[in-house]
Amino acid sequence: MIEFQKVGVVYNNEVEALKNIDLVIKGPTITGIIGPNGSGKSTLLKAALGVVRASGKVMLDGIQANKALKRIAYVAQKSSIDLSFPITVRECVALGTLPSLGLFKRITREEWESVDKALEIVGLSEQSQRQISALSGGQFQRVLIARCLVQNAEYLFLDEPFVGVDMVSEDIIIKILKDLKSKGKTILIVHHDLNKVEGYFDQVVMLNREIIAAGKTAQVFTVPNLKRAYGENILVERGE
Amino acid sequence: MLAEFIHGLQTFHFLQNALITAVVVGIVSGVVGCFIILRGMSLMGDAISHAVLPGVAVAYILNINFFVGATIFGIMASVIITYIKENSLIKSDTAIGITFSSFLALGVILIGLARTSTDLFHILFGNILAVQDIDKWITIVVSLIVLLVIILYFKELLLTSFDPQMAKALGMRVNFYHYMLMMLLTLVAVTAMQSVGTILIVALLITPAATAYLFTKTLKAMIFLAAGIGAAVSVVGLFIGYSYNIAVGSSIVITAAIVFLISFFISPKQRYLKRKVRK
Ligand SMILES: Nc1ncnc2c1ncn2[C@@H]1O[C@H](COP(=O)(O)OP(=O)(O)OP(=O)(O)O)[C@@H](O)[C@H]1O
Ligand SMILES: [Mg+2]
Repeated sequence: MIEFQKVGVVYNNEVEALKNIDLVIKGPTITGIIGPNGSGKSTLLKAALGVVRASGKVMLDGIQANKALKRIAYVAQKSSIDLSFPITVRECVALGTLPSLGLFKRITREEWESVDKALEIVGLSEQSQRQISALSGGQFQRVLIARCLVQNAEYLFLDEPFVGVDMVSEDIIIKILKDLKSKGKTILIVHHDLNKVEGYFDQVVMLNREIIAAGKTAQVFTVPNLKRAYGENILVERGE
Repeated sequence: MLAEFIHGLQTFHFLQNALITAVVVGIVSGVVGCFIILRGMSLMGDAISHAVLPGVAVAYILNINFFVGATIFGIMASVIITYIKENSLIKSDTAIGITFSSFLALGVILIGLARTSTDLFHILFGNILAVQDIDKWITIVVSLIVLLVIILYFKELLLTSFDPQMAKALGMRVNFYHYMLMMLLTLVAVTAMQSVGTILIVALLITPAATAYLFTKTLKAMIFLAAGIGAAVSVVGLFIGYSYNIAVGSSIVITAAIVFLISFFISPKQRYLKRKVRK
């Protein structure tokens, strides 16, 4: 269970990115966080991770989240990773073992096996010895998912994992995530494609600096809520 | 000529010192240089290596070993640069430019005051043939320390260089590793000063690492190759400088540049030739 208690974030003493966020997310679930650009979606995840300074509290199963960081696997939005960095796909995924490794420790054979298994799950076994610069954007996103799998964390925070990913990769990733949920993981996904929300999430949180609505998709996706979050001019076409 | 060089090595203690120091400096510069270029800190490397100059002057004035003074000023420069960058909207290249030029100017003045102006040229352009035993040993010990730190913290340095966002999300102190690298960079700059001089240190840091980068697909491979190239160009540069009686530091730098240039055209990553052929 993730609890946000009166969480607020102010950047540079002027931009109030989040205010008064009270939210309880029970696991195992897949929760979508949606809202327009600049609405504080990424900030919400960063506040939980303690990467930005936030007021209020974020608790993971009753423990302060920033004291339980090893229980969270995080994929940042359009990560700042330099794709020309000299690292192979397999090594990149193996970085997922780092949180549990101490000084002097090396990656064990079992851990390498879990790395290879994760690569198989995301369908990149054949690329494992390639340098990451040789991957497409969607393949690289799958590498980051594989790294999360290796981290074997109870909570997954994914910030826009489907950007630049084709439908095939997206389907693969969502299947993996649903499988993880069935294994007891709690997953938070920042997402901005309103049209594909239905089948993906158990529940959604609609955000625009504060929480507009939270709950089952159908309850949240009402015209008044959408207008409050996105402004009066939004046009939403719901599929049948 | 090679025979002469080898004979010189057998005969002259100063040449032995020069060779050992050059090789050690080449190795450690190559290794640290990998992190410098991958983190986009080349300019920082340049700045720190210039900023050690006043430290050397102060060391002369106080009659202490130049290592001590240079290290202190190098660290001071890195702290000032990082402070300006983090506490204002001024971009880091600007902060670097301001800091290192002032340090360099201060250094020139101080060296003038210290009345060792004959040495200024050597400090600026290196004087590996005059390396004393004590300097050689300090170079070896400092280099071993630098390499040891890198081996111990390899995983952390890898992650904070490659994916600082993940590192932060895991609660790692990314800034700590930044300062650690600055510290290592300063130590390397001070050792490399003897070999190529403050003006050209950045070449020894960056060129072998950049060359290695062209051929490798893992950081470990890149580090080993950069160390090898750093050592090799140092030996060749020393040989050329000694044999033709030209400045050794500059010979080393030019050798490194030539190796880079050749690599640039033949490396699989660049595929420059292939592209040309295909056209
Ligand atoms: N490091 C920062 N410094 C200052 N302001 C910031 C910083 N990061 C974000 N902001 C501001 O905070 C607000 C929320 O940003 P955030 O990145 O959380 O939005 P988002 O919902 O993730 O948007 P997007 O859909 O574009 O990813 C924005 O107004 C943004 O300009
Ligand atoms: Mg965002």
